[in-house]
Amino acid sequence: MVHIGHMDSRTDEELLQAYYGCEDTALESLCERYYRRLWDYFRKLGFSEQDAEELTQETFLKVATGKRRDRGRFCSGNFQGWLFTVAHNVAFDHWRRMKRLREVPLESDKDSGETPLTVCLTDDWAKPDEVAETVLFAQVLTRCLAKLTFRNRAIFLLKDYFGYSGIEVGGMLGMTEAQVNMARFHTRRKIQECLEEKGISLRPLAAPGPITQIIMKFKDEILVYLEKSHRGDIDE
Amino acid sequence: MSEKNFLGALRTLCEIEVARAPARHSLQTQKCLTLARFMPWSQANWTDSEREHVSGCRYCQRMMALVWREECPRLWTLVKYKYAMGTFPFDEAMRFHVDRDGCPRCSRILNSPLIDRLKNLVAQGADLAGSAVAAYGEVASAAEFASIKRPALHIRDTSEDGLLVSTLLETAEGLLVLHVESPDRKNIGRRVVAEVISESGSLLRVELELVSAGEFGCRAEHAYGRIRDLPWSRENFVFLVRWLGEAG
Repeated sequence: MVHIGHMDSRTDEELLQAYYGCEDTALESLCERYYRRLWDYFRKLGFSEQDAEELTQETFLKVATGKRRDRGRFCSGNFQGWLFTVAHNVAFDHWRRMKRLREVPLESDKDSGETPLTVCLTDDWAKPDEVAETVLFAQVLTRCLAKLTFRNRAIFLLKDYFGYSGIEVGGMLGMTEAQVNMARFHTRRKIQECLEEKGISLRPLAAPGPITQIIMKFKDEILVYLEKSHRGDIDE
Repeated sequence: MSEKNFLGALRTLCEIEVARAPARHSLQTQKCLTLARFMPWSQANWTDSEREHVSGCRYCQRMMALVWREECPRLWTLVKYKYAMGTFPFDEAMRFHVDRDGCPRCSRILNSPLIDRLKNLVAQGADLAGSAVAAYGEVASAAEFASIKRPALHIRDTSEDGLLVSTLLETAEGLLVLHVESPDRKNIGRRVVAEVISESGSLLRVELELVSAGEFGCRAEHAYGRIRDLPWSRENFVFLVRWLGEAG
């Protein structure tokens, strides 16, 4: 289990049990541990910074209220899964509230992509040092996420961005693993199309050409030949 | 960029973005109450300094409004807010709840004549904290989807000190019955007044005396008759139960 904060060495489950046992500070430790991650989740879903911080707090308030049936769910042993289930429901409720009240689109929906982005990501972009490059990649991603439905955004973020397994994401969103994978298939395709528009190709490497095919077919023989060549066993 | 590297890049981006995210709410200060202190069961135990802080703190007001997203404020709280009675400490929270969150239930109640009738009761000396009061009808269920078949009436409320619990319910036979309970046996023999006030102004008033309910404290009961025969049953109404006289 990934722990974001390390102020309290107890596990999530121990902290939550401690809170239910009237240790108020245990809730603060949990909040400290997951605040950033939840805030980022809400931002990537497309909410404003102010909404993101309020939705994060609302999620923890709901965890603190901890209805009995939810506690039962938590007792299955996956606190993060439960936390993101609550977070997703909080986000969805707020999204509906926004639609009902003001019909204001989510922040990412407002962006129609008029501002040109100059992003150049290559295969070496595994550990970007440049903050500006990170920001640009995040912007491109946010614009592409805006093209997805609310649920598919959540699936993409939880599965591909945060790295939860299909079963975990299914548990968080009330879906089966197969449904998650199916939705993810379409989601990935849309994201791929969008990123390609922005100059980021996700296509697998091109099919090997004829010379490459010969090399692959006779790879073992070539390796033996090279080995012998290094030892000087081959007569020129 | 290959798919594998794209996933790697996403995870790296995730690590960076999470690390760059704020560690706490932008309005939160060291003096602000902890989340646990905002739980409904903790609010009754706030110290004077906590109350004073909350009344002037934007973060704490927001937290109150977030708590109200889960469970709306009590009717009395709305009366106090609308008529600025005493020192109402949650002004900003209430504005947030009604205006920004657009709570349909509280907006409807604040614009209903029922709230004026409650205000009049307060003006006549009704004790706010010691009463159990609930709304029924469109007012209460404004946020819910309309039901083709009306569900059986069942409303319940507990006074802020927890000493008076009242339930108004419709039985399977269509009778409207009132139950009043108190967990404290010291209240045996005390009298309560139960009032039903409709939007059109009709008033139904009953006085009851609490009798022993064994180890469970004390209780009283009253049957109003068949609900379909009651003139206000198709209106919005509030239902209020309060003590008559001081505790012995």
